[in-house]
Amino acid sequence: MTGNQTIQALQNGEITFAELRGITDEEMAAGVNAGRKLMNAGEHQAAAEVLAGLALYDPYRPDVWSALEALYRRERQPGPANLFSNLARVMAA
Amino acid sequence: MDPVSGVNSVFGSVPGQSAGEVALASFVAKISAGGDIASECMALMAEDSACQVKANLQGIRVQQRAVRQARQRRMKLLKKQWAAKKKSGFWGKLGRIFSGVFSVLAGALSFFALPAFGVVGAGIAGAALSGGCGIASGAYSRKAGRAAADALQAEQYKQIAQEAQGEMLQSLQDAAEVERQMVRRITALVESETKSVLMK
Repeated sequence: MTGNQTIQALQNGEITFAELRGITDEEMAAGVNAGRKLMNAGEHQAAAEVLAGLALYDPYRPDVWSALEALYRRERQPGPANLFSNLARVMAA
Repeated sequence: MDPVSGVNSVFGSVPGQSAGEVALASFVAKISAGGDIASECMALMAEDSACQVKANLQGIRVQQRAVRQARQRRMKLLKKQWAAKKKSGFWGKLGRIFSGVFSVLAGALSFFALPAFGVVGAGIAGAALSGGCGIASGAYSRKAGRAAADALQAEQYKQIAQEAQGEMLQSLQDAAEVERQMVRRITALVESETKSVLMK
């Protein structure tokens, strides 16, 4: 795959930034756990920034969107929480 | 950095760390290696062999077609959700972080999808060529008019390409910013956890 083919595949949603970085499933899962840990420690802004990065890296992981849903439920923001819940369902389907 | 585990000396495993902590340290090592995602993508586009992510393309190549198709379907759904929320001004509530994430995911690198991208060079070259031929053939006025039209079209293509390139760069910069914030937060977490393990 050439550089431009890779960018094209990225643009089509066929590959992810996580794959470009060579990040494994276990490492992504560890990142999600880190985001949840920050959330449980009450560091919501930090958790949001970590989970946003993970969503960007691999938007196809339902656990990232579920963690975001949990975060925004805690923040009492049902709009974003519902959106993230929908995305978690779509990605798990 | 250990090329097998991907763990470097700063975020290397420490006795007493769990498998999850080791995986997190490895994650941090990988996301800290090389340039940010914007510069890595720019290097990829330029087919730069020194590009850090180039080494990972081997694994991507073998990915199954079914996985890719499923992803395309899901990405379409994600884009739909984003488009609906964009209209309602929803992203104001979530701040710049998520608006950046979704704009990157939904419109990522759309520069390459524009038909103008492939013909910019051809348009410019065509205008220059027809201008030259017009003068040489002596049928000056008609061909010069054509050349002017071609030049105008080339100029329009160039403008579209420049605007699209600006959007793409913005999109990549947004991605790099989201990535930087994530790296900063996870690095701080890993460092504080490593300290606490070492102090036990």
